[in-house]
Amino acid sequence: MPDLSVDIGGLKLKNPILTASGTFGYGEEYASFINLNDLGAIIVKGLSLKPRMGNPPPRIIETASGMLNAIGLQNVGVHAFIEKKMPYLRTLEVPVIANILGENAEEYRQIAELLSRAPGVAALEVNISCPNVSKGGIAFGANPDSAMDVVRRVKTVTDLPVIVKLSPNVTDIAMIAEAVESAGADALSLINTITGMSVDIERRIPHLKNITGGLSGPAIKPIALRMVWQVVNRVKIPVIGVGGIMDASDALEFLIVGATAVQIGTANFINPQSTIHILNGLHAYMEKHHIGNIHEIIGTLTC
Amino acid sequence: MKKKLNLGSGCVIENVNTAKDHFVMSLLLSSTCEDALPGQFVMIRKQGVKDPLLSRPLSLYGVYQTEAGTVLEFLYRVVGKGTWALSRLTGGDQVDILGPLGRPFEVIPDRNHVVLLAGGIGAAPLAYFAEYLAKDLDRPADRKEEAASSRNIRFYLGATTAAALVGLEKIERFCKEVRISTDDGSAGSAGMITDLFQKDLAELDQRDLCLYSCGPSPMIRSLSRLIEPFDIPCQVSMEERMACGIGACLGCSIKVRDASLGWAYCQVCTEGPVFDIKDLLWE
Repeated sequence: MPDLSVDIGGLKLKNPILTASGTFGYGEEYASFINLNDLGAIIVKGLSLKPRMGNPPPRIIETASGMLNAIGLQNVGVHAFIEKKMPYLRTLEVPVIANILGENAEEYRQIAELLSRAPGVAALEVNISCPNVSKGGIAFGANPDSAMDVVRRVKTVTDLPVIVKLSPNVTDIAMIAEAVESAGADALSLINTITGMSVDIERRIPHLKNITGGLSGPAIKPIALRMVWQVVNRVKIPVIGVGGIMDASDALEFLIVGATAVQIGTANFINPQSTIHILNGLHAYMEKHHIGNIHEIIGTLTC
Repeated sequence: MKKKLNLGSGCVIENVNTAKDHFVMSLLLSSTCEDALPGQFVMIRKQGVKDPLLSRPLSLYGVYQTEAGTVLEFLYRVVGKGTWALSRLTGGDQVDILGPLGRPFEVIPDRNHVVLLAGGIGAAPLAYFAEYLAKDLDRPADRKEEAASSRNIRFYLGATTAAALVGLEKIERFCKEVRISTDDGSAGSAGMITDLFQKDLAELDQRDLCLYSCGPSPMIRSLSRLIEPFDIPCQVSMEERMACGIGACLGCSIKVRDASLGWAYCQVCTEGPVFDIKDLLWE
């Protein structure tokens, strides 16, 4: 058996296949399709301090090789997550990573503090890149100073590994990556969705009520890959690649470029067993090429 | 909470263009499915194809157990890229199926006058429900005779024009009474199907009546206003765009009444697609 284990900022994972926040609910939604314990980690739907209703529908539309979404972070809130969702997640062996989003820097700190005290949370993923909410999210991720402020506040209240999820909707993603690394981030995940839009030509209205949404799926994979490659060359902390990974070869591209792990997002919607298929594909690739350890793949790109 | 969900494949038996933009597709499932109920839906996509990317939700139009296995039937309208791709499938093509999903129509045992009211392609789930009720599939085998004599099923079907009246063949086979209206008057009475129902409502015994509906939002909304003064149970099947069908993407939210918050969004895929009409909120 090849060794697929990786270390994400102190968090040991048995394999590098993670679920992208917002595509995997709170884990339980997928329990009838896969053995959740086979995953490297589960990253749950983004959590805010208070429950959020989300945006008015329509919230999604398919586009060429992808989809736009403007869910608007509909979630149960951090308190209900701890009380109602964590008990189930604690019955699993798989590490659970909580994705958090505040309306201001102080809220990020509060959410981080609550989750750090909740048994069973293995790491935090700080979402400074949601394009679909009016407050928080991308407002912090587009500016290095505000991004650093959020990371510093979160770091003061938690001993958990802090992963910062970066937005592609910036001029220089590597600059933001360096900034959050210097503020103490333990790892990075990139990319979040790319802002886009789509128009109904018969009614001449946007397909999404929110007008714009975040583009995900195979359409964004080359962009995500390029950004991961740019960032791994500029930071020392581990990078988790995410964006349009549909199969094992997509995942391998990210690993070769230098990602320590990958997140599977939109693919979960198309086939709820995608994560396991990708994991099996990684095994098969390693066996075929007689690779005993995943680190013999990570960051081996020759240019 | 825990419910077993099927992820499997099917083989297209036929896919017939029954009216302009409307198709009836039947599939033979690779495994037996015994609990596919009226009102439920499946996520479906052509196997091995990356474009369209997402599966499409289709409600069940018929379910038959045959010697070869379970056959699912769908009546659908081509409205975009996804349904257009489905309409291109021919006999022998393989599809990926996730389902049956969602909350089915609930039979109300002590209400024997059943009214099914559909607009356009909304006929699909209700035609299957009519068949289900007419065959007494909800009742134990030893009570079927008593039931058959007591249940009266009336179908109201509305469409823009005569050519868009779909599912009629099945509906007429299973419903004693079928009332039709079209916007242009090319079949049945001219006007809205809810208006036709409103005219008849006074004559119906409301204590014995239950209503089921599916169709365009304005129709459901009219129906909601129309029956508000009465105490008639009414279940409606709703539609929204979906990515996953299993409550993960949160793409298919609609506004519903919520006891503590006043209102909330809830998922059509897992909490619906069948809702009590009194729980729906309109902008």
